[in-house]
Amino acid sequence: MVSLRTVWQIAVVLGAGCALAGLSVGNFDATSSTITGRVAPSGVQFSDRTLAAGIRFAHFKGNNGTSTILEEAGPGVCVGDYDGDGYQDIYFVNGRDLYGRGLAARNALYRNNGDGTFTDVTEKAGVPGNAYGLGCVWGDYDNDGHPDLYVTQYGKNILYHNNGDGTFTDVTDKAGVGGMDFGTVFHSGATFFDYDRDGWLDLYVGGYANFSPSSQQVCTTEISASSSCPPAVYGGTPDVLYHNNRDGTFTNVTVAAKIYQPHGLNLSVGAADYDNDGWPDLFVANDGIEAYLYHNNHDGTFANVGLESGVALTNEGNTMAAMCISLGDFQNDGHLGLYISDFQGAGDHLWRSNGKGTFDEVSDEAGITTYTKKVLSFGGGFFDYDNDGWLDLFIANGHVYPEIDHTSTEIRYKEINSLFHNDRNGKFTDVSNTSGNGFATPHAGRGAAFLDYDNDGEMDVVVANNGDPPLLLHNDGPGRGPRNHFVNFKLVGTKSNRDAMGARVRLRAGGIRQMREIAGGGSYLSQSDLRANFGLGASRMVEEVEVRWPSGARQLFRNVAADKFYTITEGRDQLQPQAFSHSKAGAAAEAPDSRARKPKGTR
Amino acid sequence: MFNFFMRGTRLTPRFLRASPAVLIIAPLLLALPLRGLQNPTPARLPATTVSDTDLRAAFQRAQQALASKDYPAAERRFTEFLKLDPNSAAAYSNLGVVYMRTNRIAKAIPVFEKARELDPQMVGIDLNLGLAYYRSRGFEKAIPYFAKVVEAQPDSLQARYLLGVSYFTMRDYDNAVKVLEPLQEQEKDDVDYLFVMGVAYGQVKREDDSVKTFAKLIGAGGDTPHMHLLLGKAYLDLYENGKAEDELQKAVAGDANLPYVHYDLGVLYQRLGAGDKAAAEFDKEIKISPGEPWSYQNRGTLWLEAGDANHAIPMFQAALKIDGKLPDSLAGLGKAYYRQGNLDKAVSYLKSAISLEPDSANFHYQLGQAYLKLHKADDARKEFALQQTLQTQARKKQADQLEGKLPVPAQ
Repeated sequence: MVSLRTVWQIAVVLGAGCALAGLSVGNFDATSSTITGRVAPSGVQFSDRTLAAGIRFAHFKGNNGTSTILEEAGPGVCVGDYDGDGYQDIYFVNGRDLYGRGLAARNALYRNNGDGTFTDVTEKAGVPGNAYGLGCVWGDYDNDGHPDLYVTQYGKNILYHNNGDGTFTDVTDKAGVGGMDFGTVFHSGATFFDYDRDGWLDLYVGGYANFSPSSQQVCTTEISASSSCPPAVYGGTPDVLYHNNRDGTFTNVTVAAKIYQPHGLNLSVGAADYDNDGWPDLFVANDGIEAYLYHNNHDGTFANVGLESGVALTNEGNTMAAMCISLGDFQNDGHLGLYISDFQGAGDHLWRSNGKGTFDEVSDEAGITTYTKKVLSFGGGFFDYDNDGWLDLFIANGHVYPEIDHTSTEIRYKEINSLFHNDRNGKFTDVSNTSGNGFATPHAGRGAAFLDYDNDGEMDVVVANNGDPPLLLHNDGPGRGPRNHFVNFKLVGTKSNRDAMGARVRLRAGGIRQMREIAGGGSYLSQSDLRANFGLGASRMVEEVEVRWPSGARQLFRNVAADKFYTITEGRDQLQPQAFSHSKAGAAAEAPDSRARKPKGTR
Repeated sequence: MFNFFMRGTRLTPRFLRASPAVLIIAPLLLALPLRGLQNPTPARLPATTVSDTDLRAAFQRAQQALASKDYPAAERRFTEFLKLDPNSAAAYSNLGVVYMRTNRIAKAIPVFEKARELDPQMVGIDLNLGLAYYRSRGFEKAIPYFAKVVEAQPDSLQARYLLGVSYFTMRDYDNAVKVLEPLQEQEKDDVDYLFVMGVAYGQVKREDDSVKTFAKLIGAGGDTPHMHLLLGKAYLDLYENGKAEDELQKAVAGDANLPYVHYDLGVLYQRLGAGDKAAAEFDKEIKISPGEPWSYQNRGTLWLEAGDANHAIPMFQAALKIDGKLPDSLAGLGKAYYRQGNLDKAVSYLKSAISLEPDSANFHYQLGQAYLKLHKADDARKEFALQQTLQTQARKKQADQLEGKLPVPAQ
């Protein structure tokens, strides 16, 4: 997988039992944002800064002749500030030589130097990966203030614990999160999230096709050529849910949580509170079978409500290829909408939440169907690229059959990425052709992540390409006219998990009400900058910012100046500026959370 | 001999991962079905309380009206006659002929069936029924009737031809070849016949025969718009989109009003995601062939994809006015009304679609969604359960095909 919807009138009333923190919290008056009709795209340009930034990584897909399904799955990319210097670093996942040809390849961690350039610090950090890599996510699972890194692979996954000194330690076995508990080998997307709201990040790991060296390697597909096989040939494998025991270990609770699905074909996964009940739910997008929406029952278990909620299938009743999941309040109505990408010819899918736990697919009405039928969409999702306060859509595109270059005169293996501007009237406009040289060159796009790597308040994009170098797309702003204003928040949990995953930030500025939920995972095998960046349009002041923490705590800030980067710490009354260190030696980490490594059962 | 006109394509189930449109060779419409209708047979007048003379006279008057193509009078008179003699197979059959000739195929079928019930040995009744089902696109139902005629009269060219085409349309290419092959000499210059045989040979893996037949087709067809249309259609089926477009555009250049060429171009552009171009082609085809439902149907689908249910509805309605048994148009109306929030109508049309295509997982899913919105949770669950079952079966079939355990469906 948006007919012009009337704007939802939402009355969000703070519950009487909610803990109040910091400033007193009144009713966050939540009538919907004003929609004034279609707004033209802003002319923002993106430039390819990959080489200029010093990124020399190139993905090695490792095929030996016709690619297999594994070799076309392609890489993810994840963004996180591993050294705490305030600048987002990037981790690229790589393939491997599976045929004994002696070809070396490794993943790559690029440290942001704070000056627009990056340095490959993989060896020093000790995070090369050790198998055919697929995806990655960052998450401070032990609440020590240093984001840790989880890499999904074909084979056992890896959990790298961040030692806080620029190095990592492989703690996979100790933590018990290799991901092969049910025999799954072909892993895919993953996400950290705190499903039981105990303040510690849990981990969900996706499983994809049951593909092995003894499986059928190639098929003659609809393009009448020998190419990689679709997943239907192999069947699926189970995902795993790991509960954080708070002592550096995890427990597989998949069955106990009633989330065990033996035949899943998961590619992407996203955790978010879709029904606004304060508990994170789980979207699991599957390739060629129905998607799962696991509603959090608040008791450690989940229920799959995909069909009843309207997101298991497209509105035609079709399954999706579903490479990407992205959740975002693209209508500024206080509810998370959903984007899922799909195969060439199928058109991508956009859902609007009805606010009652159900969704309507609005892809056609939004105007994305026609354009996205022409491409094969992978990673990306919602982000506000022009800072007008409305979430736009970026999608990395690329086919999965290299052979199509020879069998089709219209379709190419490498494709141009897509950028859609949110026109605010329920429609999106394709602006790919007019958004700069970052959209000039076709690639076999796969994972994508959003980040503000130079901390200028404008969101950039990094794309991982299959068998090619990545793309670092710098947001150069509008070609003409003034730049829109922004405000950026980094959330630090104290009672809630340190990364604040699951926290909701809502703000009101210039007549627009926006909402972001801090979440990992999503996109395709990737993870974006966890900070919440809000575009403010012409507003120089944010009238109200409300944070709802997973712990239940709420904070409200008023009259926040725009064009700044703030840290919001749970329980602290004042906003703090984010600290940006330019030291190449790396800044000192934030003070470790006193909760780190407490014995199990204590807080 | 017979002019075949290419008909439209149907979308395959979208669980096929790649392009959602797999062409089925169009049902080929016989341009002259009416000529094939058996002439009214002389009545064997049963005994009634009305005198035989009066009955005979009444019958003859009705027959004269039919013979002079005064169809309203013929219909009136045969209908009146049947009040006098309700067991007259001949009168039913002739009334069926009237309906066929006035393009009311749906009404013709039950009266032909009645005639057959009353007199199974009536000359021509099987052919008439076959023609009626054929014209109403009930090819599966037409087959047994045509087969009976061919069995009884192996030299019946029309019955054999239509039987072969019916098999072809039902993708039973083996039988299509078996039935049509004996006509090779007679139809060696008929481009439509050669097209059908060329495709059928290809589908049954008689590649050499296919190549030879297409070579004859090109020789027989020459540089005519119709020929280019046939070639364009063939390339469309083979997913040679560039070549398809070339040939279809040549057909247009030769005759911009050639029926079905714009339809095929529309299908091509729809497949390529060029919605605007596809819409323009379907609009042209509607003007040229207003009596064919497919362009309306596809145009309705494009309107839905553009998010415009208001424009989609009249398109699907127009398609259904021509052929009330198009499941995709019924489902299209269901979807359009669903998007408008008119859920009762959505349910009604989706149920109608399901009655025609009960194995469509998609239709069951859409109906389930409509029930959910109507807070009919139990009904929704039933539909979702059906959808899951059907989808699982389809998925298994697809997997078997990809692994070579099952033949891949012909495109």
